[in-house]
Amino acid sequence: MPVPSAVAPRGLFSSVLVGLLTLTLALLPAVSCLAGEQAERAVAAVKQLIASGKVRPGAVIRLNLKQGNIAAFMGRDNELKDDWERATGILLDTVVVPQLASRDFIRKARDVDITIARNHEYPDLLDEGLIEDLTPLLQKFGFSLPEDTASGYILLRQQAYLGDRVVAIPADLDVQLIYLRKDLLEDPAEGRRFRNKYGRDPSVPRTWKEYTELVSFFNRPQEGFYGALEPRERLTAWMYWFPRYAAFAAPGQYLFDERMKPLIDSPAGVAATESWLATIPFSPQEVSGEGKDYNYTLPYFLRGKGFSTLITPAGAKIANLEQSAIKGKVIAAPLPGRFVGDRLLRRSTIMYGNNLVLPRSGKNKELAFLYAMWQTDPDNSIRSVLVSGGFADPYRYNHLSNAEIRKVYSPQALDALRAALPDTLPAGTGLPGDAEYLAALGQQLWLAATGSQSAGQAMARTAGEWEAITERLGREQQIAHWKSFRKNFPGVVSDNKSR
Amino acid sequence: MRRSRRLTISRQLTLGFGAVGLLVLALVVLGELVVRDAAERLETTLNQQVRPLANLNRLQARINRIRVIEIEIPKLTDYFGVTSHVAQLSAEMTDFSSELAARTARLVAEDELAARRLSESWARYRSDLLKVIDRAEAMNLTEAERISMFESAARFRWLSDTLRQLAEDTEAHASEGFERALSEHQSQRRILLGISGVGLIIIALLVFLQARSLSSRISRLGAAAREMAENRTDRPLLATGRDELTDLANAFNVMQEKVHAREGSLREANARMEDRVDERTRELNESNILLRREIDERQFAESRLRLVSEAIQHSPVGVMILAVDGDIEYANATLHDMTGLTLSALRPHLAEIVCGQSCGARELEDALNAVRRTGEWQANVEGRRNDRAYCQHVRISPVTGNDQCVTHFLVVYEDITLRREQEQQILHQAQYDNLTHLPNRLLAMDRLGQAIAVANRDGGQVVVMFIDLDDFKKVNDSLGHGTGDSLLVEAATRLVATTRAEDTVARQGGDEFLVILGNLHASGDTQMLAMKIIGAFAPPFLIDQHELFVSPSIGIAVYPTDGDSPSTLLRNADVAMYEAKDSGRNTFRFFNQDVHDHSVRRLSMEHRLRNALAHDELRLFYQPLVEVATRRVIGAEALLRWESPDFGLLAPDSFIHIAEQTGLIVDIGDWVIQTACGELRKWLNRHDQPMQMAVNVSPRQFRDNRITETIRNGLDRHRLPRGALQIEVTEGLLIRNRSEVLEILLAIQALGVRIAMDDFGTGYSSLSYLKRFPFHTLKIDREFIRDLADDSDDHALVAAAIRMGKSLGLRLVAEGVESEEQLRILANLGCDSIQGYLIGKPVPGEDFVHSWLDRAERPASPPQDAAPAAGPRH
Repeated sequence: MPVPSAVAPRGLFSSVLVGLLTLTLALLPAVSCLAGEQAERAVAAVKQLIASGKVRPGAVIRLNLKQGNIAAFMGRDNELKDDWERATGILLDTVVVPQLASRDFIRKARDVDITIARNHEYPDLLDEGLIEDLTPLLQKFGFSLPEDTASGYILLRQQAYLGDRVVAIPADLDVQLIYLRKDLLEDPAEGRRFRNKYGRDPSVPRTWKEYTELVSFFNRPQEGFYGALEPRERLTAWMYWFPRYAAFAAPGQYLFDERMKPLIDSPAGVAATESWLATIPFSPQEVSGEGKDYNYTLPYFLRGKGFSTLITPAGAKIANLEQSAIKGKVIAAPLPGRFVGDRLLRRSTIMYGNNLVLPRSGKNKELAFLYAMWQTDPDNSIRSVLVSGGFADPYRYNHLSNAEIRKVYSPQALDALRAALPDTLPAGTGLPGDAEYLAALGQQLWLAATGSQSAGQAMARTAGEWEAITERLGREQQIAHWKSFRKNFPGVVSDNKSR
Repeated sequence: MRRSRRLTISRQLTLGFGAVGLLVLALVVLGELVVRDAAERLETTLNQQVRPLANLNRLQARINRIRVIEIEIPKLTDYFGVTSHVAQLSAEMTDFSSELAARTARLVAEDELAARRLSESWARYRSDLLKVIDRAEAMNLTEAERISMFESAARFRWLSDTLRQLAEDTEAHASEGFERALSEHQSQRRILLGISGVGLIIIALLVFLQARSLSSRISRLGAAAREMAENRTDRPLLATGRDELTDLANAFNVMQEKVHAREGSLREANARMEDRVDERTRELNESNILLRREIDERQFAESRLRLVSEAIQHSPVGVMILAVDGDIEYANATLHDMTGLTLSALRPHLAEIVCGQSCGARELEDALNAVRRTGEWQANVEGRRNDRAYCQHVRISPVTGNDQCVTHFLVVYEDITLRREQEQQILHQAQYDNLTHLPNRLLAMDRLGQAIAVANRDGGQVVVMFIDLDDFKKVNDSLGHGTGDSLLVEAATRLVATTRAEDTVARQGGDEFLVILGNLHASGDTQMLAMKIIGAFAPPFLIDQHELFVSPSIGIAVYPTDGDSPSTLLRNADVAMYEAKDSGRNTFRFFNQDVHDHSVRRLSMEHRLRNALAHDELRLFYQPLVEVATRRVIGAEALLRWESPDFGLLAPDSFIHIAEQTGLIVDIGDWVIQTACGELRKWLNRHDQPMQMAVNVSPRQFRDNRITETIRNGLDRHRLPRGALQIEVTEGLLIRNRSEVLEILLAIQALGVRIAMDDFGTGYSSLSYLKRFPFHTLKIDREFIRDLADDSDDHALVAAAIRMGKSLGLRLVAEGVESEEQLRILANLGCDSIQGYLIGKPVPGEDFVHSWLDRAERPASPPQDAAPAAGPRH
């Protein structure tokens, strides 16, 4: 005699079980790197090297790190360093280098095994033979760099690749965001006055024009309060110009045409430069002074003396500190853009970046590579990002959802970062000679900032200098590199979302 | 019922033994309590000593970490690096505050003043730290460094000294407490012994009274029996008590009655029987008495022996009884444990055990004789057993017989190894540096005080060397503290190897060491030692596979010449050490009072100079510039003066080098340019004649491109015509960064500013400089003009300089012209212009207008107050 009450639940149970199994199998490829596994594999590989006699026990890896990197890489109370040394028996010898471009000190490095490089420096470093191509090491030890949205590396192509070669292990992600004073935006009295003047409510700017209006409105120099806190000095000028140019040039145009003819002296380039220049009257008087980078502007913002600034996600971390004068008063957002028809085209770029590279002169390349993989493991990297005052900002997807990291950066800032990711371009030109291209651009922008020339003149002269640089480096070679860049980042010129 | 109430003799004895047992038990319990109390007191004393000291050490270590971070912050260059350090500093401050609050709360009850001093010094230092954090967060690192160097240093020292003083006081109090506890322990021991003695007396008294009671009653019974036997009485015996003797007395009375009743009839028949009964009764009584007495004595002796034996056997100290001839009669279990020897094995080692490992029979005999003589002998015996050092306190007392003669010797051992180790460990921790095991600053200062006392008595000298390792911080920063610590240990080893055994090498703290040489009579010895130390540091240090080169800078102060107290000598040696640093490091310097005074004055001047601009204390004086051909005033050179409320009116050579070193020269230079331009505008407004203003600029102003902007602002703001302003640079500027300097000079030239090479002839005097850089004017230095009329070499040099300048199209100006003769020669050589006291000394702007501009012709004749005189160029 059938017993429906007994059969039906068993059937339901089986269905649920099968469903769960199917779902698990479907998700398995996405979670390609379980938390902790990457670190364990790195440690096992080190032990294998020691057992084979290729590496002596107690060997020392020398790290050159920048101020602030030390804390992030060594961990809170050196716990990461201790863990690595306990697990492998390989010691870490850490040396601090200045917070400047890496090329000079990598060039001088003799026995440095691993160090930090900014994203835009990759082409020059590799082209000059200063850093190692990591692709063979990845293959040798059976590693792959995951980019799944569970715990993979964010913006992996921008962060790790040059062409088809892996040249860096991501250990930071410096996507440029805008930070605004939320308390002022939401203040009813300020809102009324703003509405009277501009006919709309003050809000997070969608376009660079709206941004300029906001910083103009909130600029009160007589009270020691400034509307815009963007550096306008020579060396970092390009960082704040690139997102503007990318937005004004979009869709379908970027730095060069297919023959490497510069496109920046176009109306888009001039408009971007004018937008870049437009904030200067609303900034502190010495904002274009030599060396006045974020070390000059950021303290103003963090001490409550400015309305807005543009900086990496570290800005959210530092503004959210307990002792911060603006804790809870800040909103982070993707950078403004430009309307094309009714479409809003936003663009951001990676600015600094503190990723791990292996100098070619290093004596312990395999150990250094394995250390990089261990350090950037999903679990270990969380501990690195959480270090107070450290440089490392979230660079793996599991960082964005980690409760502790969300508390440190504020959930709103990490959501803004996630929103900015689809519109984030690589840093710099992506070409060999990047340092020269950027130096020329920075010099002309700075001359324009000091009033020595117009935006149009600055772009025309930069274009001329870029042409000369391209000629000197070899146009055909540069065309090949530019072609590779466009191939890797088709969205830069075709406005799809695969940047 | 009657039987149960009877107190038989056996019951009496049982009760007696019971009472004695209870008394012994009470004594044992009391002894246990005393021993436990002593142990607890010892533990409490240790806690009071070690924990507060450890707590203070932690506070000291933490405040040192805070100071290190505070000093590191201004050295950083990046905002995020600064933020990281600020976060560390804040965390350390919070931890220190809470730990200090707990310590202060406990301290208030003991020493309110010290607690207040601790709180106050921390509050002030904390206030400075918050200022440093505030400046650092604003990236005003120069100000943060100034606060660290000048404001917080003294407060840190105050706090650190307060903590150190507290540690010393705590240690002293703890030692007193320990002594007090020891004294109380001895007192309790005496009380215990007293109570034990009283207990024993009570036992003896009880036994005695009991024995006497029994004896007297039996005696009375015996006497009655005898009287009855002798028929001397028919009175019945008085029967008291409820024991067997009472029964006996009653029986006796009954018997007596019966005897009397039957006496008549039985007298004769029982006469012999009676005698026999009497005799047998007497014998029985005597036997009874003897028997009872023997039993009592034996039981008493046995119980006493058992008590003493148990007490001795389980005593925590070792006990041994020697016969008068020194043979061992008894040793308790503790002694066997302590020595690891059985009784038979003890005998051959008796002398070593009693008097120490190197002693023999003679020393033992001496000790026993001392006991016989003085009644006691005691000593601390140290040695090694099973590879472990031990220390035992041995005490020998005599045991005397009834005749007061010594019958035995009582030897008591107490193991004080642990106590001795703890005392030595605490003493070592307080006086020696944990890392290098050298004497610490505390012990060094004590030894220095002793050396001064000896030198004061004997008329000798004491030398203090203050040694700082050059560039040690770089090692620490680059290779880590582990390597740094190893380097310090190696450095300490080399220092110790360099000095004499009687000298003191101590660690002052960080990378600073002290060497104290006492009993010196020749300064040459000191120099030789200093050179020896420098030589000892010449070979590289091999640390963790690194080859490190670290040199010492040595400051030397000598008693009594450089101070008569330890603190003064140390401070002066410190000053001398800094002079050694300033002299290029890896050298030594003796303390020099003038250097010290100069250093203080320089610091004071630097501090005042920082406010000079804000307080409007800077002035410009103007010296006229005259055209040789027409003898007309064509301009002036602006010369800087500082009207300081503290130092009076100062010429630039007194303070410009300070401004250069501190970077203040940039702001001062800007002010000079703006003020000179403003003054020139006033002159031009007043007299519509072309005038030129020359301004000296510093090479430091060329490090960034700000000077171009400053000059442009000055020209625009005061609407000066092209060619009106001339800046004067020295050859030193042109040596470094030639391309950058050229770029800036070209930019300045493009603004219509003339550029003069100042002090030509005193430096490299390179023709290539004159060709390469856009100069308009060459100013010949006063050194060549002074003896122009008398020195043919100077004449030739000036003539060559003028020819060379002319050939390059430059205008020539001679400086320091003081006589008509010099003017005549210069005119003949073709010099274009002159300035100097022949024309006029530098004067304030109003005086210049009055003396030179308001006179119609402005001829080059000096005003009445401008008599030629030697004076500084500025």
